[in-house]
Amino acid sequence: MLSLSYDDAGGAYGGLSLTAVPGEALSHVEYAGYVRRLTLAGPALDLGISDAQVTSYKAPRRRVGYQELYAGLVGDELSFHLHYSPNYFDAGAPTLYADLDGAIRPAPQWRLFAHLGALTPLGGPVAPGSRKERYDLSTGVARKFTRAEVSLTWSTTGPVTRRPDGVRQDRDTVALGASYFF
Amino acid sequence: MTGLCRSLILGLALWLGAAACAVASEAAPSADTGQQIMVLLRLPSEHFRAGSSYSGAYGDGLGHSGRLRIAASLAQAHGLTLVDDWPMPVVGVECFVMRAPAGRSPAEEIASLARDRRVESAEAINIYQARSAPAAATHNDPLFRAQPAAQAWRLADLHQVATGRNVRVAVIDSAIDTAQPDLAGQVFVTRNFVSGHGEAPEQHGTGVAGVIAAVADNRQGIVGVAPRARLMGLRACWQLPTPPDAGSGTLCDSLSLAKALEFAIANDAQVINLSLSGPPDPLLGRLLDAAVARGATIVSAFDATLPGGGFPASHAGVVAVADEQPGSNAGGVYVAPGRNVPTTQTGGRWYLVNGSSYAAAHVSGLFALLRERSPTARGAAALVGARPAGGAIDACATLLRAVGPRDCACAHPAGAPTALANVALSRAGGPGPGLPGLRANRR
Repeated sequence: MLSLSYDDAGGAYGGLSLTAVPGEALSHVEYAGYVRRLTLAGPALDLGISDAQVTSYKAPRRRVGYQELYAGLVGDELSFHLHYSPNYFDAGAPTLYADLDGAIRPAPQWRLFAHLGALTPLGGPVAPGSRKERYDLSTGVARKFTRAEVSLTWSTTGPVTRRPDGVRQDRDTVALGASYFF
Repeated sequence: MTGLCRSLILGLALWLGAAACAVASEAAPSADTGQQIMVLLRLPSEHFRAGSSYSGAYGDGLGHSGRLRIAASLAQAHGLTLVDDWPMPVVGVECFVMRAPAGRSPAEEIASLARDRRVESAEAINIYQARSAPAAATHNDPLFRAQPAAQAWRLADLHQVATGRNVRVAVIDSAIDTAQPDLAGQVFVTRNFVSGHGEAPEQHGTGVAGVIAAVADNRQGIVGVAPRARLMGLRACWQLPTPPDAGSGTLCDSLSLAKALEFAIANDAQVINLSLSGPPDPLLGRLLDAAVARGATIVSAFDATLPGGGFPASHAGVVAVADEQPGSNAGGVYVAPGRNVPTTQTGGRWYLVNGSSYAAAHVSGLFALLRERSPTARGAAALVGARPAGGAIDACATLLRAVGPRDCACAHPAGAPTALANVALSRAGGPGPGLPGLRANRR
């Protein structure tokens, strides 16, 4: 993953994130927004727009993705955003995604974080017996160094699905990550 | 939801044994501060970032890396050495400490840096001094009755109404002796923002902490003004090995004070005690504004030898406290007990102290009592002084006004109600017989 970001002194910001999964897909997200503290001691209002595209190596000519408008409140230890997508992954219906993030620093170089997200379509068909809402949850710990960070993250999504042959498709993941900041 | 989130996160931390991990030193070099400069770069509010987890107010590594690169570039361009950096999200800046080479004027470097559009501001590191006089003689009589507040503030009666239970009081001072029997269990968090001056407990911080929150009814030493308050011992000052003839011999600098203030604000200190004074400082001023905006009460020692009573006492929103009436032109200054005050000393002893430092500590304790009963009692307006906005504090009337006349009554030791108390008493139905002072209403 490669990320670039720019923060302007006036509160405008922008960035992009490029993710490559060898043998699977290449995705990129561009975003731009504006953030401003509402009061000296209060949370910041965060508004922006993003565009995400995924290209499969197996079908390089086919790209899927979505555009989003987002708005949220960002505090010192908690952040809440609502994301609206008019056509999420070409599903033909708009979606709303809400996410709540938390982060605390038990020690200067340590960060504990957690994320809870819920996605719901706003209209469109729903298959019988299936739930239209989906959620994702992750939590982890990160240790920062001068120009690097190592993190351990556990994440899961739901509801749990089963293949036609009845095998449970478990989405739990534990990831060990390392980042270097240029 | 915040509690749930914190519990979730903290549970994971325990699982990972993060608590056992070595905590990186928070201390920064503080020697040779005369050649050091604080260069403030803007720390933007955290916001949505694709592909990265939320980092909280301290920002993500990518942003920090960018600011570090800018700081390194600035240091190189100005011939400075980058010494340290410290994010201060409560005022939206990251502070980079740079050292000017010997023979170069830090003031000129500051002026030059301030013209660079990448720099939010730049300033010198100022020196502050704790406001206490040398201990008077060698009295070491640890009796509650010897405490000036026992009589002047009717401390035992105040404690029938409030003890400062669970109010978080940040003591930004020299190192507190947390093993002192009268302070055992009173300090729930300690941090050291000073290096190069040893780690041993020190007199001034230990004495100030004792005045605020020494344990009550333990058959030892003294009683703190708010014995159930929870102290944050934030070391931003250090004790000189050979104190000068006059003054306390305890110094602080604006960098260590800024770090300690930032920590106190970020960790929701309700009362912040600053028993020290020095020159005005822009960064400290911004941090004080942020603290007040977040609802903290700031109490500082008044220094009659400095213009305006010294900083931070002179700063708007800060409660300025002296141990004696500073003069008719010193408006807004409150007076509290600060002469011949018995308090905790390092090494498990007690001694007598003097100075505005300890007067300020009394008022910090009083605010802890107030905030236990009335969380909105935050600023100087909550105090009842001998004159409008200042003068000797009537602790009894102050607490009475905060809790309301239905809960207690207040009178002079001889039983004669004060003028203010008269009003309260008439609303409460009059004092009970025979017990002077402040009483809990047992209805």
